[in-house]
Amino acid sequence: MLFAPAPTPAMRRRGAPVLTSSALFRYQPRRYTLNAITGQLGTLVRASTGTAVDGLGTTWTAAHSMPRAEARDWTGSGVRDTLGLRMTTDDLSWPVNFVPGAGTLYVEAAEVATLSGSGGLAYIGNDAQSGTRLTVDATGGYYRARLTDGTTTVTATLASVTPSADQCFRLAVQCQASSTQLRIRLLIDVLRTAGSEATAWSSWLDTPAAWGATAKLRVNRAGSAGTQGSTWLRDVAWFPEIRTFDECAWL
Amino acid sequence: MTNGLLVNNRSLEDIVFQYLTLDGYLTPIVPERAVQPLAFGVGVFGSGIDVKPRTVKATLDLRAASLPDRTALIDAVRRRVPHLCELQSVDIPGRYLVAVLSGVEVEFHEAAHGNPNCYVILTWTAVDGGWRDIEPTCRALSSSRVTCPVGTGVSAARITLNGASTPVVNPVVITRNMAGEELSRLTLSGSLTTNMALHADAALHALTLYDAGTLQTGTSAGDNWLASGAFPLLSGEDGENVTVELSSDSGTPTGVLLYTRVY
Repeated sequence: MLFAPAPTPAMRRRGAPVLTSSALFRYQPRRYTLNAITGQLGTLVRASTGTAVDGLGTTWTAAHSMPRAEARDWTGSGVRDTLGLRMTTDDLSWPVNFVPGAGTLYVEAAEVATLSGSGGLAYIGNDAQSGTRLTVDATGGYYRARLTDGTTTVTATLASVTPSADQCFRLAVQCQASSTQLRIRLLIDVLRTAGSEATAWSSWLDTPAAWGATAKLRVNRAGSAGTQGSTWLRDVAWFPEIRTFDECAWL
Repeated sequence: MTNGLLVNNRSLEDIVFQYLTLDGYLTPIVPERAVQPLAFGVGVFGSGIDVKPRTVKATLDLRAASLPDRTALIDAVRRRVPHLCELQSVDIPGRYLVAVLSGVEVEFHEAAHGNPNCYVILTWTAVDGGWRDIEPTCRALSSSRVTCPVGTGVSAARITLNGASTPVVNPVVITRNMAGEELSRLTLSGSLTTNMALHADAALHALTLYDAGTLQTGTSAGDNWLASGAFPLLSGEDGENVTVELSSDSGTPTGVLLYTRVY
């Protein structure tokens, strides 16, 4: 007696393929949307008009809450050939759907004015700045990163390298995990200068289970009421592992 | 230095020995509007013309330490190449091609049972046949003509028109070639006041209206603003540059244009 089992049915993907990323979050303004490549929906609020500069150096004005696309010279070509978002009183955020852990927060930006005060650059946490959060902001003219579980805070602060006005830079907060704890360090690379710096690793912090309730990834300010910076944003991402600057360029 | 294609901005050369061949990626884009022959008679359509999509084929030299390692490396190559991806080439580093992986073949060398090396041939079909600039071009718009460089293909304009305290009434978007001849005109009907922004997307053929950042829907939706004309397309067949300008019945029209050059 021949025994012929039914063949395994052919299985095919349904639906159109989508662009995927190795990041858990990645936003690039050059893609004509406020939404992340990774699917998170962006929200921009700016309760006023705002100006930006186009590729020919002409200033234009954006309407209330409209993104301010601005072209700058990222490559050193002398031409405004790279698109980003101009941010001063702009508040841009996305929902966070990943938990604290090993990873890299990566930012490509330019400081439009000399870094001063406590202006925010990037932030993962809730609007009220309570609970677990990761904050990158300015202090004493340098960037610093702070990771806190709401009670204990670990800090990494740059001390020798900071971007001057209009200098483009890459910044990364590397988050290293042990079996039960996290620690961070902060790296910066100011383009076309000799300026790069990596801080030492911070102290260890017991790994929080989650970010503060209804956490968001926000650029240009910490929380919904923090001091806003004055930046031009080209790229922001969260990778689920420690990456170097060059590795952060992988989509 | 990378020799070959970057897939999603990452070289495959950390898992393969090298790219042996690359084919098809430099082919110039074919015209997007094929010329149709005349019909044979009343009610009888003429034969159509097929325009093949751009196909890129890469042969990778894969060198494994053992037969099991060969399988693991082939798996690694496949995992690194998602179905839909962005390709970049060192020949043209400022551009990318959106392509779909349409084939993976493995060719063994002689004595494959003992020789773990092989070739892996990847074939991509371009979803859209054009290489696109990685960085979009940004131009402030006004009633003055602004020069917009174009590639050899067709770029869809994404225009945002601003309102003002003195309303901009019935705005118009006009494209011209460098000789000043009008190529297209998009006429909109409505009054853009303070805090309003009207977004015209020529790729989607859609108009979207915002008031103080709030999307307007229903009878207030942007699509109701379309009066006549065509959404602006910036084509290389009109020259290396075209101009874009705004007009209106009253008020001072301003806005911004974003587009990506296509080749």
